[in-house]
Amino acid sequence: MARLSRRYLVACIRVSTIVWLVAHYALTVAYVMPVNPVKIELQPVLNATIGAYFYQNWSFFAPNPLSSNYALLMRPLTQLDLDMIPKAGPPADGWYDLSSPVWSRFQENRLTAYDRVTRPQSNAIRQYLSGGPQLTPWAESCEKGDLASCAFYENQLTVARADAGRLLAKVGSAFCRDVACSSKKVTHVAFRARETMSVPWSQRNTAQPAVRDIELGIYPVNERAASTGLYLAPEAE
Amino acid sequence: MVKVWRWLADEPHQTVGVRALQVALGSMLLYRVFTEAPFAAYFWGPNGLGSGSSQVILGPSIGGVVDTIFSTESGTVGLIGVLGAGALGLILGCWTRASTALALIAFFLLEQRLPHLTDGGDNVTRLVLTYMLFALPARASPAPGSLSVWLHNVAVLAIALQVVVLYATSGFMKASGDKWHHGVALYYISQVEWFSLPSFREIFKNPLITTAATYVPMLYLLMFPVAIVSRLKLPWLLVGILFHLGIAIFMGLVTFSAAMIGLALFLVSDSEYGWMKARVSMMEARLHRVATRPRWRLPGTLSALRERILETQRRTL
Repeated sequence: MARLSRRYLVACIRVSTIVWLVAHYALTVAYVMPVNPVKIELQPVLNATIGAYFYQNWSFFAPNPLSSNYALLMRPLTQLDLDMIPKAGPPADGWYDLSSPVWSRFQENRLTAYDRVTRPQSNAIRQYLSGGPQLTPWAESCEKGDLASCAFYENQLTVARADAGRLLAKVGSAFCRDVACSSKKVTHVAFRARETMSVPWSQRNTAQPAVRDIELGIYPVNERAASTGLYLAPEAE
Repeated sequence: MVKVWRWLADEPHQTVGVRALQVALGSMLLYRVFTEAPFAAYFWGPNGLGSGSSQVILGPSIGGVVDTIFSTESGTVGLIGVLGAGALGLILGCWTRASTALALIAFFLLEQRLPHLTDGGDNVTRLVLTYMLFALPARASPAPGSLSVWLHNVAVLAIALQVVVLYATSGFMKASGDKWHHGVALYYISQVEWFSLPSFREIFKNPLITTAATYVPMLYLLMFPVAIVSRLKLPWLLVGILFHLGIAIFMGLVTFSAAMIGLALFLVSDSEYGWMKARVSMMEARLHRVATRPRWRLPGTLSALRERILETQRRTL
């Protein structure tokens, strides 16, 4: 009798694993596909299952690859600098490039963590500017004139910017610790994203990349922030 | 249906492949431990960049307790140590289920703490480590038809399907992008400092190279699900390995490439590994025969020439 119930239990386990496998991959396929009617219909189930416990995103460099460089520029600010900004705008000099030196080191030696060091900065910039990849469908829908999508996008963009700002403040504070900002009475840091846009394919042999600076806000320095130990004596522009 | 049932029930599959995957993921995780440990406090420490919580998945009670690991720098470093121990266990094949569990727990907590740090390689590693919990331990010899064999084979199937989903989705997404569609995506990627080498930048201004380098990976990804169940499977996986070596060098995505190469090696079946081993043994034997065969002596060697000169001199005298 005991042997029979054990065999029954094993058979149950076997059947349930097969059912799980089929259901799991049916949901996974629905989750990773572009927005379609089935995905919209199943959204609550997908978010509660795959989205929560088996989160995945395989849109590597798709639908279109990244085609601009976003370097993070930072300017340490004293209280005096901060007071001047409403009248004179952000200072024109004294900006540090936190991304480019790390990129060039990573290009020299691939077997390092330099890529990972700049990843939070780059992701924070993209999140600040566009809300991140998860808001892209809403932004596209908004561009097509859907007012509900626009309202949702604006709301989520505010949340995403606040999150990105917190991360940037930590990056700036860590840099400040590395270059000893406290001795210069630095209280805040200002950030800019320097976007270097790729030259379009048709002009690849004639044009130069266009460059523009985008202000990313001013944040207070956290003096207890962990140091990277990486930025030792950078030169400001 | 009966065939599928027997495939799952009778014998464990991909045993060599699972071992190769354990070594690849273990090496990738150990590499991350060594390169990122110096930045542990900056990334995940109490005053570091990370502020994420595992409460979203583990719930407020368990998640709240687990999150306290990051309240001290020693806790953070300890967690990196756990990840390193799990990775080492996977490489050496010691207590592989326990090592997988250790690596997965540490990896998951670090990912939750700072999600901005991760990439696709980390994403697939977390999923595959989850399925690998059910794989048979290294050097295990379970009874044929046992439940552990069944669970191992279901895990094998889950990993293989995950790889198929990954490649097919990636190809499908690319096919809908205009830069991929028009064959210039690789040119744009080569212009981005983060994912390129300056020395390759000029090469990708060549129309032929850029078009081929854009379309070939896209077609590779799209056709992957069909190719790995066809006769093209082994060459397809070999191309995949070379493709990911290129990504590691050119784009610098070293950990992603290591995980994907491990998954390509995983997909090679035990019988295919046996066939490759037999081919290598045959080639070795052939090389050995060639090496030990008596060497050809040319008729006009120096000693023969000397003999002939002496004979001529004797006759002349």
